[in-house]
Amino acid sequence: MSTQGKIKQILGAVVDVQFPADQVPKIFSCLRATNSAINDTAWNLALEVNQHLGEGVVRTIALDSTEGLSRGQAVTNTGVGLSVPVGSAVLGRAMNLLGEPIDKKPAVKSAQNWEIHRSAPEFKDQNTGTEVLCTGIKVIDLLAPYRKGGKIGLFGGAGVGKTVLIQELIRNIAVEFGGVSVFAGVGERTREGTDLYHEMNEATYKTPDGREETVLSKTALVFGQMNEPPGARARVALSALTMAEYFRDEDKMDVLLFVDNIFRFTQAGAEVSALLGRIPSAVGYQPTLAVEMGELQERITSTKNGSITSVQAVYVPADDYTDPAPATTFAHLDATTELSRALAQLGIYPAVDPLTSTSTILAPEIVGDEHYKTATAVKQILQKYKELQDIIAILGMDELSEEDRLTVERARKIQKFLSQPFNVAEQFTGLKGKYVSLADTIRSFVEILAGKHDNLPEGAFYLVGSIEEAIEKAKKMESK
Amino acid sequence: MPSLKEYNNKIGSMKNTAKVTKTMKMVATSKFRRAQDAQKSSKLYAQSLDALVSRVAAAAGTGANHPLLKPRTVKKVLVLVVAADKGLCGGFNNNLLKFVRNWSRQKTASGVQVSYAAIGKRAVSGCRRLGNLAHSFEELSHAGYANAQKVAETLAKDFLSGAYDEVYLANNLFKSALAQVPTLVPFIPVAPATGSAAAGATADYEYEPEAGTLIGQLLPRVLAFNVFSAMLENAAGEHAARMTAMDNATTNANNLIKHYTKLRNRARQAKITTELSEIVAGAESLK
Repeated sequence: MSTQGKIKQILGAVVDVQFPADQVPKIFSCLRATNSAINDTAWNLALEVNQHLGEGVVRTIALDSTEGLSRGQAVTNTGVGLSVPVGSAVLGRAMNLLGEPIDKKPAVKSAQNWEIHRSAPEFKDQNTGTEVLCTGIKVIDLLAPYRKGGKIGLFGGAGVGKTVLIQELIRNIAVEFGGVSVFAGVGERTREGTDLYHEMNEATYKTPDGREETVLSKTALVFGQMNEPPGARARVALSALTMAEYFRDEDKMDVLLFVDNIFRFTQAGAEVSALLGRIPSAVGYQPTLAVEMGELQERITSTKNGSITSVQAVYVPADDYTDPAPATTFAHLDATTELSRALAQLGIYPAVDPLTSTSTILAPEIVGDEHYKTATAVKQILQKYKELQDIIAILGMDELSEEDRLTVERARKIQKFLSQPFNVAEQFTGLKGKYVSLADTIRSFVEILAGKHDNLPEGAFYLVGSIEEAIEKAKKMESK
Repeated sequence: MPSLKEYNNKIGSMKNTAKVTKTMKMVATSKFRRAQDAQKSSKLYAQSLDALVSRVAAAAGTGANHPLLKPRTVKKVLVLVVAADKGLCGGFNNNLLKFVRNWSRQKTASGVQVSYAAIGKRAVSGCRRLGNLAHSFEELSHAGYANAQKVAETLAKDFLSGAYDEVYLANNLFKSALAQVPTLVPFIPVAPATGSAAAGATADYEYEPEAGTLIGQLLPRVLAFNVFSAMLENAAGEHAARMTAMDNATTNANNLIKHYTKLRNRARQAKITTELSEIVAGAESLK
């Protein structure tokens, strides 16, 4: 252990440490202290230097509980930044942000450790492919398709189904994809993390040489959940990202990175911001909001070596999309999938808002003419329905012309048809999950738009996979 | 969560809508009274006219072989649809058109070719969608006897020329201010009611000119009057339907205004609270 310092002040998650004036640790270097309130191990509390206050004093963020610390206690400077194990050793493991195991297995033994603060790939190394990533979820594949190596955001207020959707995506993509995935649990429920771990342990896929392996064996899980101090939640996304970057840069692989929930990263930053002595900015967020988000997001990118496809859930406080946290995140994404409370209240799950969800690759030269035209037609008919709703609310259905009434009927069917049963939601719907291929999705919507299924009742379109299942369901409904 | 401005725009446009619908309701109410009076008096006239026709027809006996009375084998029929010029009167026009559509489907299924003639813009556009629009009397839609006469003449000519073997009349029957019932009745050939009950007292009249000639002069008037009566029923029904529809629309609009005003106030309060807490937090951190 190189230099030693002493704790000068403890302010919740922020700790000031006094060092000799000529031995001040660098910004982002990791300090260690002993906090017997956590466990009996020595040097068990990591502190990350965030500010130099002058005269040898540094301000640090604690990455674990600070209760039990006292002034004057010894602190050592490790001389390096916060680092996590990387490489194949992390696969199949659940870890905290320091790379310490939380799955009751022995410590992660890796050949290398990487610091979690890194710079983003240079401009010349970046690469943007335009291959579509199929998710098997109708509304996403059709209206806001995801790009391989792209950045995707799932926006939604409390309880509209962000986590369920991200878990279904993990199931559908990770199983089909067969590559390496990294999951970052940032400030969400621990229970969901546990569920995910067990689910991945049960789900299997076939390796190229025909063996069956669990999805977990190809996945690294990093958790800093709700109960942990802000320092942990503000850094766990970086830890997971660092592991993903190693696979991309060193192993030259295509990586999937799931983050649930990126908003908690911002929130954790806001929690320590005032303690670090910054003046709060709009709506009480940290003034450095855009910088923090930018530093994280710019690293999640695809390079010539390999790609990182990231899916990030973004909590939207009070359903207000103009809130600075989601608004800042928006700018970084290729595709946004917005979950709407109005649809969730109608019982349409996934409650993806077809009109506000966007994707940069929904263009005829990338997805093809038929897909593009179908998606546009679906959006148009839904937009028209939305406009007509005011008229219906005031004047009633009777005032609508014959064509408008047909539009409304088809739009309602399309709206219902955009729902889909999920594998991970089987206990809620009682229905088996459905994976719908892109070709089936497009064909189904083309048929509905052409009026081929005007005779089926609306209910037949609810919670089904492809159009054939809707026809089947209509028959069943009739025979009852 | 929409912004305050969006809420204000929405509430503003709904207030305008409510104003319009309220005015339309008042206009419809005043027009309705006049239309209802006309419809009532025509009912009385219709009864006497029916009685007269069946009396004369009975008196003429076998002499009553006027071509407008003769049924033939039916291959082609014409339906005269009488509906309103304007919408915004609830299901008034659509109900009638739907009724006609169902009827003609049955006819078509039994091998009869159905064509349409239409009075009123909505009837014209509705019948055009159904196909086979033979006559459009768009400019004759005002409920006046002269207009009715022209329509009746055209239809009678069509029947006599053999273009159609039967002509039907479809319109909304005015039952009350709240109920307008779509009906479809045979129009040509005229079938006078038979039996003593229809003819009233079986007094022995003498006819000059004789009954056979008289009925020939009477029939065109009967046809014109029937069209006229349908127009009056339609007018009364239209205004009544518009009254109810606009009244409902005004109530709905007012309810929505109330709902959105509540949401707007909530958004406004949220904004104020946020601003206040930001000012307080800012001032606090500068200490």
